Amino acid sequence: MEQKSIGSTKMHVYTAFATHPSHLRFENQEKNETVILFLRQHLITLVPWACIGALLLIVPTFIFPLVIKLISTSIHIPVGYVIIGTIFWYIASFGLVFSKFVYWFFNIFIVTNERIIDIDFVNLLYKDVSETQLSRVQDISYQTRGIFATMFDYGDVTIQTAGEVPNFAFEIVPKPSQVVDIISDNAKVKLKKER
Amino acid sequence: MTVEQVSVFGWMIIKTLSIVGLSLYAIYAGIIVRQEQLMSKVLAESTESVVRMLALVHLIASLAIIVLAFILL
Repeated sequence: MEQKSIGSTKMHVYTAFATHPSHLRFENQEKNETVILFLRQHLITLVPWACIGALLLIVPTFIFPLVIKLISTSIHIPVGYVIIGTIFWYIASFGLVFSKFVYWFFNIFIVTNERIIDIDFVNLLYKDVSETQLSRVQDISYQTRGIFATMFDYGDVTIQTAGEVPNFAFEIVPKPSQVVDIISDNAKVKLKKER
Repeated sequence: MTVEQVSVFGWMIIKTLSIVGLSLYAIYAGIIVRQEQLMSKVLAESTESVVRMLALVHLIASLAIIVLAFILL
């Protein structure tokens, strides 16, 4: 039987907020280091791309016949081009939306019992990983702006540290008030341990 | 050159450009797979296999359409 730690969250493809996530490992994770909080940007950031994907999906049904009809008055388009064009349109539409999803999936914030890590993948050649020790956290705050942010409970969390990276910004993350609570509680515990 | 010959030549150019375009897209699909592999080295989680499978399906579809283009165009 699979064992689950107390209060752990089961991870899904769409998980954007998880406390004590199960089956999660990251690069350079220490032996005694456990993940307390796992964050991605709120799912709402994917909504515009989902809408674009839905629009792209219906284009061949409505726009393609019109375009073909217009062009066909002067040139006869072989049926092979219509078939290849339509299939390619669907593959490329999927590719566009999927690549955006991949960036969302791998741009993460992790809080462990030792440190805070922000992993950003910009492209194949550029990866930005910044981290700071929990004991270096000086000030932590969050902002929720607008109707949607209030409705869907997301916002920006800003962490000021005494480290080389002066500020950490977790942008458009879900449950920002809980994020602040969890980080400040664990920072206090870490500080107590060190003293 | 007759009008017919010009038309055949024109479609040959369009076919070549289409296949070049599809090949470039397949390279892009390959880059997404590679990117996913690199990213999963940094973050290993249980749901990552779904993303890997989708990236592979996308790459296979991109390659399959090149074969289909050779047959149909």
